[in-house]
Amino acid sequence: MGLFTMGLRNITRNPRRSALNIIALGLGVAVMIIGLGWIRGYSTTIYEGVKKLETGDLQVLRRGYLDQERRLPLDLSIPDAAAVAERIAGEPFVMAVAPRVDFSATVGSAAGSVRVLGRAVDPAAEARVTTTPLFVRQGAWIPSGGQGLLIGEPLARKLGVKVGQLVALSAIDRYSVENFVELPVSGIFRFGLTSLDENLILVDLATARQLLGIPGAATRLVVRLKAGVSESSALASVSGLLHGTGDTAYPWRRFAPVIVSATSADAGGFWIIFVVIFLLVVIGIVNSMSMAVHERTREIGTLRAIGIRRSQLSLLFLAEAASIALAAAVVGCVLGGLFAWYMGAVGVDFSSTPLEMPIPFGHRFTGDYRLSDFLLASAVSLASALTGALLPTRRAARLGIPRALSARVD
Amino acid sequence: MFFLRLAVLSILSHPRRSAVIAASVALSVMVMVFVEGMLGGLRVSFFENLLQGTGHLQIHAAGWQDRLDPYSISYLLRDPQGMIRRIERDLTVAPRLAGIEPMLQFGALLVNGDRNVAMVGQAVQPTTGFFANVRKNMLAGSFLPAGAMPGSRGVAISSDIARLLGLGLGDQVIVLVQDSSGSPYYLGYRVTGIFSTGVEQTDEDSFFIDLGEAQGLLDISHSASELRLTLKNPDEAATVARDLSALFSHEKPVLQSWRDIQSGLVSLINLGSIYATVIDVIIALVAATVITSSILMTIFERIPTFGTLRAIGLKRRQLFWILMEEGLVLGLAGSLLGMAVGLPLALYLQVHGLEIGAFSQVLGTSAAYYFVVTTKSALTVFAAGILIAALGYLYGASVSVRMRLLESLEQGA
Repeated sequence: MGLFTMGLRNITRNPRRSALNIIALGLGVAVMIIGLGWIRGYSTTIYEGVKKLETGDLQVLRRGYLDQERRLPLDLSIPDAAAVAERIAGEPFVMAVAPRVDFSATVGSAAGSVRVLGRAVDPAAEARVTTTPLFVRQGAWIPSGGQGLLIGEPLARKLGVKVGQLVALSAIDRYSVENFVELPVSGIFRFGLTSLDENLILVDLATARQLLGIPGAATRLVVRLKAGVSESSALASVSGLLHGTGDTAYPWRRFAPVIVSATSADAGGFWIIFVVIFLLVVIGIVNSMSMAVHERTREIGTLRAIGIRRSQLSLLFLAEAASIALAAAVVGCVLGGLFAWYMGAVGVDFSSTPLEMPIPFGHRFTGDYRLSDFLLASAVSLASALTGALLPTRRAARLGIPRALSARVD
Repeated sequence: MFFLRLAVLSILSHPRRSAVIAASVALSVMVMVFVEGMLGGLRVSFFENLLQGTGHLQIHAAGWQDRLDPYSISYLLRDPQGMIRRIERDLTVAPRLAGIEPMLQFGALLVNGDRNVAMVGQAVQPTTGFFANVRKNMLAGSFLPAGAMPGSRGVAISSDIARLLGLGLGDQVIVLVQDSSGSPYYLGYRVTGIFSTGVEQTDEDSFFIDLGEAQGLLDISHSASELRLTLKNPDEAATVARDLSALFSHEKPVLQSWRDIQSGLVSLINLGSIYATVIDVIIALVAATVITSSILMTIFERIPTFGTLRAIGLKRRQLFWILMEEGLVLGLAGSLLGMAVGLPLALYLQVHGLEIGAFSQVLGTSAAYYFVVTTKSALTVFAAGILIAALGYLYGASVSVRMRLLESLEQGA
């Protein structure tokens, strides 16, 4: 404890040098806290948002479907979707399974018609797997076992339709024949994403199967896992279940490649900045500790002459470095804490920008800041300071007493 | 020259500390070169790739913004050639114009047997100045054979679509549309070109057809859905739009500049610039504290020396410049070192690109993202490195020249 107190006092001997080291290290700590919470926010906010709204945790599709996905191949659908869904749902780690049919369609009203992406869902299953029903702003979600069509707010406005009014839905079926059906608009949704709100319609599975000539089939099964289940092990288990069936399981990332690559690139950038900052800091600490050893050569000689051991001398200089790290951690944690508070209280709302990233930013992005970030950043600060102090400390400890006492410090 | 020699000798007599300063500058410069290269790539990708496809300015028919279907042919320019002649004769607009073409975009279903894909037809003149990335990436056949007879011209599709529909060069594909009367109509066309740009939006969504062929298919006479303009200076798009609005005050067309068309990407570039600036500032700040700390150490070590120099006649101003020249030399050395390491890396990424996965599709490029280092950005970063060192020395130099002569000499005693 005495050594640590001495180390702490020593940083006040050259306040300007110590202040500069503390600023540099403190900035590093702050940037690390900000970065860690921001990157974790991707996982907890963005990834969870995508999974809850769109992709689920994993999906099952017919082998070869994704190669042909662009033409929405009805000939590559899962033929007996209910049986496959039941098998998967029977696994202890699965919360729910929702069948879907994706198809190209035209929806029309008196105002005109427009080509859309049709998504047929089992209303009850979809409500268990995704949060889609929560985005219905007018009318209601499709009743379980019932018939209905949901349309996006901007599309409803353009078509001039309201809840309860009929629209014509036409699509080319499995046999290249164009069929059509009239359906009432049961609800109007708004995801906050133009690409979905203007181009997507949701319809009940039974109607779509009849329209498209694919009884009992689904183009994909969306699977939601129970909380805490490992995605990779669940994927392996489901893949094992599907072995030899002609169906394949895919992780959710396969269906959100833009978001995954964008956040990965961002996270990679953060790590590069951390490394560069802490490299600069270590260089600075090596330099200033070397200077401190050089300035105090005679003092070191005196301490050794009165009985201080080499190991105690090393600890003294390391304690000085640790004191700098502690002060820097306080500064960094305050700065990082202010940023974390701001993000929690205000956050970043990308929905106000015209930037069309393919995930819902209707809510704010707040990052995900935890106490562990502050502790980790402080630990890294300490490690950096100690690393920088190692070389000069070894040099100080190796100084012979007579040489140290007779040294001229210029 | 004498003071420069003094500065250099002083640098050499404290090799470790000089190395620390130079290394810190070098590290900052390396990061800045990398960040600027990344940002340069974003700008070039935007201006060269994306704007190459959309043009700097688009003229649409009145009411176009109210269309229900984004590829509706309900809102057409009925006399696009007449409009082009008027624009080319206008003394305010014409000098600022680099190119102007009529274009047609329409929704269509490409059908081959029991397979079909909904796509966007891009009807252009065979000699179009747009879609250079398609023309440059033809895998088979040609873009739109210019010399072919009307009625025998074909379509150009991507290799992805060709594979999906089971088509090869020379095969026939049915193009099914809703014509100007609202009735379904179709014609068969030969696949005369197969391309692959690596950009999903182009490869998977678009096929290309001669403008005249498309006008016949849709039964729309000589109409076009837009006039697409490229300007000599893209920044003049808003001004040119105002002038065109005045020129066509009777027709009241809808005018869109590239900022409107690509507002999302403009936001992304602006965000990218802010992000890059923040990174540069943080790195420069951390480097500056390390540099300043090292500089102060060297300066305070030499206070007795400075006192002696001042005692034999060196003026404060001259001492100040000795120290500043030291800073400039170290800044120069650090910047050179930083550029020597950072520039080859950025240039390598300029040639080979950096794989960033699907996010590159948002930027209109294939999976690899190409950095761009311009002479201007390289020189700016180089100067920034020297400036960081110079600013660090500025503080130390001002502290040392403020010291009184006696005080300096006493420190050496």
